[in-house]
Amino acid sequence: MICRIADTPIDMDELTDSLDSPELGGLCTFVGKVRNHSAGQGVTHLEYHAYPEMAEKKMRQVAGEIEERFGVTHLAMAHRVGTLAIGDIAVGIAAASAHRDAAFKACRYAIDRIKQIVPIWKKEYGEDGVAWVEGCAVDAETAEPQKAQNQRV
Amino acid sequence: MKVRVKCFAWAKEVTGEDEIDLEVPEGATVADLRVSLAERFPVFSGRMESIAVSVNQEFAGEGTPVDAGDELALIPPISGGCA
Repeated sequence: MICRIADTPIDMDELTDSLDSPELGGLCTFVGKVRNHSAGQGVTHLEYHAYPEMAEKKMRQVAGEIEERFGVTHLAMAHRVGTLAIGDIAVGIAAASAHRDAAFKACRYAIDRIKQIVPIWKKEYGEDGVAWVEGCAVDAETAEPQKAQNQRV
Repeated sequence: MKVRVKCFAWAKEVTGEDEIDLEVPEGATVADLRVSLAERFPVFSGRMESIAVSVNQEFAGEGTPVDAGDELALIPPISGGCA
């Protein structure tokens, strides 16, 4: 299983090839790309930062949750760090299972959960200045997300 | 005792450091760590609620003990993935 913080471009073929097995009939992928706008403002580029050791550990936790919920064990996830241009792949996920339903569910769960509990931060550079995009503050007591406000810098 | 705390993202910017050393009482918890942090860097006081603390790479509640040998970090709200 691939759970990786990467400082080089994400290769989706590598992720899907890692799940190549004759019993797997459904393969679902999600590609998160850098877009040129955010909250009505133009975006020129992004920086992603991570706490790499904890991030990979939390990705493995997400994988464990997916196995428990959907019985899917064939997963590959990679998240970029560093400076990314518009159109670059920020995150890639692949999930495979015998049939499509579990693969779709696993893929959807993985991206939503990564955004909640994996310590990765996005700094947005745009027409309107620079801001840390703060999606989820993690509630320490429950280790679950709560809504956060963006911080301008 | 002195503990070393990793700083990421916004926390790294406002402290200007990858890691900071904080003095906390023996037998300290995450709550004590926050007191020391706010004394040293008052900028945290206003938004302590949104900053999670991790101990040995797990999110930690206020009563979690911290020790000089622990890997500690300040975790501002995260924004991984891509909508």
